[in-house]
Amino acid sequence: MSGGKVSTSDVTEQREATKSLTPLAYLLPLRLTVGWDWLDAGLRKLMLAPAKVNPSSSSFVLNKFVSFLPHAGPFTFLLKYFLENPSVGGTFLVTYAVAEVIVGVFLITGLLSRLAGFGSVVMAAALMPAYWLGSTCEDEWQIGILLVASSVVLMLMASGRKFGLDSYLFVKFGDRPISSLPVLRWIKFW
Amino acid sequence: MTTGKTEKIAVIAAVLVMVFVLVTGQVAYGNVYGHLFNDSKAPKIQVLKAYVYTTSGGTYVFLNISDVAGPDAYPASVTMLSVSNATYHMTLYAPNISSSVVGITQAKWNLARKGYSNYYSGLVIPLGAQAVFELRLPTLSTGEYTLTLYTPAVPPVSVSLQITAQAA
Repeated sequence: MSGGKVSTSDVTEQREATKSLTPLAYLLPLRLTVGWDWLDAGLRKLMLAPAKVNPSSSSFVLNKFVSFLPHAGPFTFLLKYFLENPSVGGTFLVTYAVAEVIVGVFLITGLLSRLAGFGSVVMAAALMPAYWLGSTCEDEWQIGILLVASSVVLMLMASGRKFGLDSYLFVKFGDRPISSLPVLRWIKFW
Repeated sequence: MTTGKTEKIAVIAAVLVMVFVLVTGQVAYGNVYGHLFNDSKAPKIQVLKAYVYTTSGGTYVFLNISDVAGPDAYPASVTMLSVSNATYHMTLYAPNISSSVVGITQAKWNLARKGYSNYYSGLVIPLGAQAVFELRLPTLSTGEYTLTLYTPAVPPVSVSLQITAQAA
């Protein structure tokens, strides 16, 4: 179908512009799911079942680290350090839970999505000592690799620039690295 | 950002992610090359150290035990234990095992995942936890014995016990 009144160059331009936006919009289900995955994990520990971060409770999550030990490889030392110093381990746990809530909320709202995506990659990779656990299938590893790969995509695509608060930030400030220092300048806020 | 740069970053990211996926999968399950394994299916009792001394009141066996495989939701149990050599054989079942336990020392990192013993399960040790179980057995005479720990559904584990002169 050839348009009579609209110029061909205008149509091509519009098509190109739309095409470049469409893929980012399609990331929404992934951004919401990965965000909710973290938010759920953080909320369960901090609000819904706070016994999980209470050192004197039997459901204290640090106890789970004991079961990671046999095949934790290079992480064994760190896990034992956390377990033998439960106050340090507990602090790590609460910090991790708070980070889960922050990353979750940021991904869901599309705020600082590149930084949140980067945090999500690091946190998913940090579950590595548990990757060997999977009594019915390769459970923990499958969760881990999907989170790592999804987070890398959300980070690289700056997924909050569409359907997210980053759309305003990007228009206002453009690309912003977290620091001008080497390596750190590759990590962008949004 | 030019298209060339975007593609370069995408390929580097894909390579890094795939390396991560393949390496972790191979380490955790051997799912890239060689035979497959899953260490969290069946329990595996490991005796890290066995120490014995004997008195007229009984023979005391110290077993440093850990569970190094199996599901994280359930601990491993030693429901049967035997001590034997060419001329002697003794079998203890869970109730006998639990009544023989006179002390348990937990590893520092066990937290709430402690080793324990009871009438139904004998010696119980959660995944990753480690504990020294002290058992008092009937007095054994000098000689070498094989102590075997039986866990349901998995191969038993044996250690040798050398009983020398009686302690004071």
